[in-house]
Amino acid sequence: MDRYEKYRQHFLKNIRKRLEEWETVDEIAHQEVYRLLHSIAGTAAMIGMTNIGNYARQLMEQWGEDEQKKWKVEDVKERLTPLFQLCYEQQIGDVTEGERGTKKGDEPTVLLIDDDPSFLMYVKEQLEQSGWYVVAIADPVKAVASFYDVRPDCVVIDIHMETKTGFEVLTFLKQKLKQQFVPMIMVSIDDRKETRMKSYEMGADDFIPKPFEIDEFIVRIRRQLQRKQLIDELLLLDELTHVYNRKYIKQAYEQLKSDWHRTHEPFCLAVLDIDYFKRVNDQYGHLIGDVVLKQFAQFLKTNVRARDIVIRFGGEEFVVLLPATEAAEAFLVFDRLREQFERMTFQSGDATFSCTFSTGIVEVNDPTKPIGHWIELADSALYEAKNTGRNCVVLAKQQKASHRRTVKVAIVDDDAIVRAIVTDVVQKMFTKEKVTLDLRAFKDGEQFMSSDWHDGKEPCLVILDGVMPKMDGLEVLQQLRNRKDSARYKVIMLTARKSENDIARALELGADDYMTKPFKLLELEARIRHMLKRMN
Amino acid sequence: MSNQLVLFTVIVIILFTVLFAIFLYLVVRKRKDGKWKREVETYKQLYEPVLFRYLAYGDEQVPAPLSSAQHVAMMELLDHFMRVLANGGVKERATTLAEMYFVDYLRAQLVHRRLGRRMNALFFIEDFHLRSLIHELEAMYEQKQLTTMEKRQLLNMFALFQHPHVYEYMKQTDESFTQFDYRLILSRMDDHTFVKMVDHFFDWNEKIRYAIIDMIGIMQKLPHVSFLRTLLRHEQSEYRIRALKALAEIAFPLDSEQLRIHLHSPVWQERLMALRLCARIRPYELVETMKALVKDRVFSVRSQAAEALLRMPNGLAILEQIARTSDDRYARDMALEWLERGREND
Amino acid sequence: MIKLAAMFVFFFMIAVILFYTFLLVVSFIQLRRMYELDEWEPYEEMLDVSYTKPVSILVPAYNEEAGIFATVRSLLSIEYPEYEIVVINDGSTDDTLERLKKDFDLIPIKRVIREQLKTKRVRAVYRSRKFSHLFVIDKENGGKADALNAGINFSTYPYVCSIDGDSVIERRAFLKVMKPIVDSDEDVIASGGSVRIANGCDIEKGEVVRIGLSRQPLVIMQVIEYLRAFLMGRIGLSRHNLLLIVSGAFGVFSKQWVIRAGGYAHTVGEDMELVVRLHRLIKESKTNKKIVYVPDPVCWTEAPESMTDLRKQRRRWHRGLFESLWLHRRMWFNPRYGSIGLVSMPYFLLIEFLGPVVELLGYILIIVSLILGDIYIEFAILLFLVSVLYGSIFSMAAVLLEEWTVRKFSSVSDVVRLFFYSLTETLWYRPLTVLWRCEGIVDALLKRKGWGEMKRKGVSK
Repeated sequence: MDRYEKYRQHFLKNIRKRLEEWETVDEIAHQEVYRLLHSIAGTAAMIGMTNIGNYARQLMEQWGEDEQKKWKVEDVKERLTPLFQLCYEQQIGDVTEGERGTKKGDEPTVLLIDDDPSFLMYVKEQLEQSGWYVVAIADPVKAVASFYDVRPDCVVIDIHMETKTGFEVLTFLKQKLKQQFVPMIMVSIDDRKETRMKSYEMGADDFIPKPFEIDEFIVRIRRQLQRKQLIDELLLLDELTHVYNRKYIKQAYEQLKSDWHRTHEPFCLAVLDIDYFKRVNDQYGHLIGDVVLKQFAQFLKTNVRARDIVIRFGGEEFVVLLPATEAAEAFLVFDRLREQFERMTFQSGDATFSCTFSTGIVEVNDPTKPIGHWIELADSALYEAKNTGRNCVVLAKQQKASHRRTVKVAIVDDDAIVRAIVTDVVQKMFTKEKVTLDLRAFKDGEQFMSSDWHDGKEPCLVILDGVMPKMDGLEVLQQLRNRKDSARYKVIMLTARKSENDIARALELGADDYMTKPFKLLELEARIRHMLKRMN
Repeated sequence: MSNQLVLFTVIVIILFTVLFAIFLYLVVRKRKDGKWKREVETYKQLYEPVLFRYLAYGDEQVPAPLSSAQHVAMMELLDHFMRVLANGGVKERATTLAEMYFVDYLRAQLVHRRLGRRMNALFFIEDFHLRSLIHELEAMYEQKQLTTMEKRQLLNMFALFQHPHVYEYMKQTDESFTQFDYRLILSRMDDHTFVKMVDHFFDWNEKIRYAIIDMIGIMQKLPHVSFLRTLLRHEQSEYRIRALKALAEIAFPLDSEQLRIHLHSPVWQERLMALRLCARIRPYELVETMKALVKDRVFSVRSQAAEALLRMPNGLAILEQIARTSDDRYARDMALEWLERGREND
Repeated sequence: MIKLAAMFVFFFMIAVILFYTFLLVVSFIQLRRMYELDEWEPYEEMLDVSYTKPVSILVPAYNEEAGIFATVRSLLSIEYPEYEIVVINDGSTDDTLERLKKDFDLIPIKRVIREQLKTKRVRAVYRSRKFSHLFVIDKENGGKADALNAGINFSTYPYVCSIDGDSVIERRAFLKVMKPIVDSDEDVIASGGSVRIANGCDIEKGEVVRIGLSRQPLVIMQVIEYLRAFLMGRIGLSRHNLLLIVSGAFGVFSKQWVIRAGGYAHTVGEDMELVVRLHRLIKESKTNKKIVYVPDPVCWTEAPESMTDLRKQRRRWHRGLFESLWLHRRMWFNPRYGSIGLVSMPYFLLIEFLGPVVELLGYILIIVSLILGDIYIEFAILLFLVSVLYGSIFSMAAVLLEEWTVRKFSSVSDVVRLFFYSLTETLWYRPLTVLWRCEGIVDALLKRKGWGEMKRKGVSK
């Protein structure tokens, strides 16, 4: 969501780097400290960290520029502590996608929830040195909300927090997780027996009193992470193929569902089945059959995208979940896989043979429906694939006769920048809508009126500039209103004219709404949204 | 004769050189110009998405412009965006960006020897609200060889930036300033300064006075309505006319007795403006007076009276009656015309 | 005798060159200062309806069936806060009115027309149902001036602008041409913009899409001529309130003053005549009003492409010039009329009107001398070279001024072509126009009438 997150990251990293550099020298010239402050003051405000900028500016004013002083690292650190605290608060206040991006690969993720920033800052740094990916969130409410984004392998919760107690967080997470195992570690200054007991009772996996020795803390977390890995393997991995087993499918579905609520991006579910697997078993024996299964699973795991989830559903049937993927895209993915797999050869004694597989794909565009529904649809597609000769990919019926509504939106304006802005706004809005968008921009009324965009019967939204060369907005409006299918069109006039008469005239001629330039993006969005509702 | 021949030859050579120089200059100029335009255009395209994100959402770091083509491209683009976007924060962000990147460039442009360049710089400074250049602007204003165009623009900016001395500057303006110039200056003033302007109304020259009255109306400055009403009693008709016009703009419900006085004024412009106000506020008690004015000897008063009647709740009926029964041919025609206009709008 | 005549021609030419040089220098200084000024910023404020004066745009149309749609079309999408368009169908014998009725969905309306200027009978008034600010007056034929006067009677706004039936106005031209009027608190009572030649440009539905230079030598010569006339002549004259021509193709007038001056008169060059009359009125009423020229706003018009049409046009123009000058002969060298009487009128009389005669005399002299053989050939060649170069310098200076102001030409090749054609001007184009203008003088003296209408093919696609 927050687009300057990556700049913040970068910004903070730079500051940290500078401090690290200073660690290695004996003294630091005042000018250098001043320069750092200056760059902080300059950048911070720009990337939405106003309070940090202000603070840096205050310090600059206090210290002045021309002092001949030399600084010791400790002094700098001490004097700048409040500033860094601010930086960290800011950072950990906003855990978002951006931060997740810095996760490199498979390293375990630890979620720290504590409203004491200095604690967070310290522990985070220490834990990161152990090679873990650490997400520190100061606000428990936010932490709970972003749980699915973070997908932690271990959660550390402070019991005493202002807005929510650690117990509440714990209870909530436990409820949410149900079948999934994520170890929870409670920390607290309050080391009474009751507190400890309550923690364990409520399902905490460990309790660590504050203050603690950091090395011990790390060891205890590592132990929890190892447990988690072990249990995961035991619980959710298929023994033979080492891909997820059937039990995982629900959890994975929940995960995707939560993504969907955030991004509204459709995802796909594919059911794969090795063709004539029975024959392989019969002909070469079960051992070879297992090898085929193993290699097939391995083949899938290495050839799908990193985010895709491979599950052995049972026997020779596999399910692959493809997040943020449309049916058409998924089709391409599996068709490619199909071709690759076809060429793979298996060895049994002297005999070489190859296998093929069939796929049924369904695009999940409404995750409120249970997973079973989708598997069923994908299964019937698979059935069809088998019937049409195997070794092919079939999209579920529902996808072909797409029940997604199409909405046509046109932007007619002679100002290229307005076109770009409005296009951007509309596109962004529609990633969240359950409709297909046919968006076009026109530079004048004539180009618009003579376009084939009008063909069809879909509802049309026209965002129309009032003053244009060749054919101006009012005339376009009139022509639209004179069409037989005039009811299809909703028109928002966008006018720079400061004359009320023109607006009155536009409304008179049948504009549904109007906006004057300069306009607010939010207002534009709200008006478009309102119009779309009326178009239903 | 040969002397003359030499002279002519010299002239021919000189002329040819001049001609060729102009030609070369033009070709080079055109080339450079085309290249420059393309360069600016390319940069504009490059900057567009970045600048849009920065302005609209504040979430993008805009790279610093290095060459002057980059400066110009970014400034023009920024200006364009400001004309289109009204989001909260857009103006502030534009100012932040301009403060960061354009100040030095614009400062240099302010002392460019060509007026066109200096004016462009002034326009940009105004659009981006670069208050930090105020000292440079002050210094510029003090210069002797300042052109009127620059002077006007500078005063506009002082008013906009709420310069503490804008009031004094206004006092020093010369004859070359027109009412239109003053209107623009006034339109940029904050309320506080504007109040001060009105308080010292009679210290100003006539042009400023008229501009003040007009701007009260145009900008709908309601707190000054009582001042307009005092002007209605001014002996000079021009003040009364302008005050009525401003009141009409505001659609201020002036009491009927006062309005009646103006409807009976010997000055036709005053009658016209009073009628214009009638058209906005529909005073029922004055219908008879308005009816009488449809027979006025001045064409535009007749027309305005008919329009004012049309705007009354039962306007169509009144006009129909006039069109049927009036003893004045002009009044009947006028009523018919407005009847038609009234019906068109239904 | 010949020697005397030659001396006369020689000194006359020197005087003309000096005067032009003076105008060039004035324009040069004026335009150089504004070079690179943003083309939009100064006008932005003008878009606010509260500040700007509304304008009635008058489009007289006599048998303009082909071009009228594009003209009205281009006027409908101009950028101006408040205006009305009044098309005056001057008793056309073709389908002009029908075409308008059909294209713009006209309905008859009742309007009280205030007859401030006497005109031929108005048959009906229409308003467009599509565009509430578009009106059409249908009247009996009475000539262009009569049509314009009818338009003035009908118009409701304080400023009027006349647009020729077959020209295209740039969208922001009105803001630009009105700026001096608004800026000066209406001390400027008439303001004219530039007229440029549309041949060679791409115009679609009343919008200039691409500006180009025609391939026709005759048109290129006219392009050069127009540039010179507008950018050099008019800026120089406007600077000192000496302007006698606000182009009929594109000029805005204060309605009140036009009416005071008695409206358009039935002359051939009704636009110039009106301006002269306004000047006269200004001087006679001892006010401080001004008439200005603004280089930036451009009206694109179609230029004749054939010799015959061009000849007709030039003859008519010259006759028009004569009529305007003759009607106001009282102003000639009359100190009562200040600089207009002492500078402008003599300039137009001696240089613009009689210049061609002297030039023709020059050509004749050269030919006679060549035949008689009493001319030094070197001397003749040099003299000839001087005149070629001087003409070219003026032409190129005009192109230079164009570059500093409107900058419409975009390609280098256009400039190169303008340069080479300007070198040839003295060889063929100049003598031709001189001849035609002399014919115009003869026409005027013989009081030969007739419009000499040009064959139009319509500028718009």
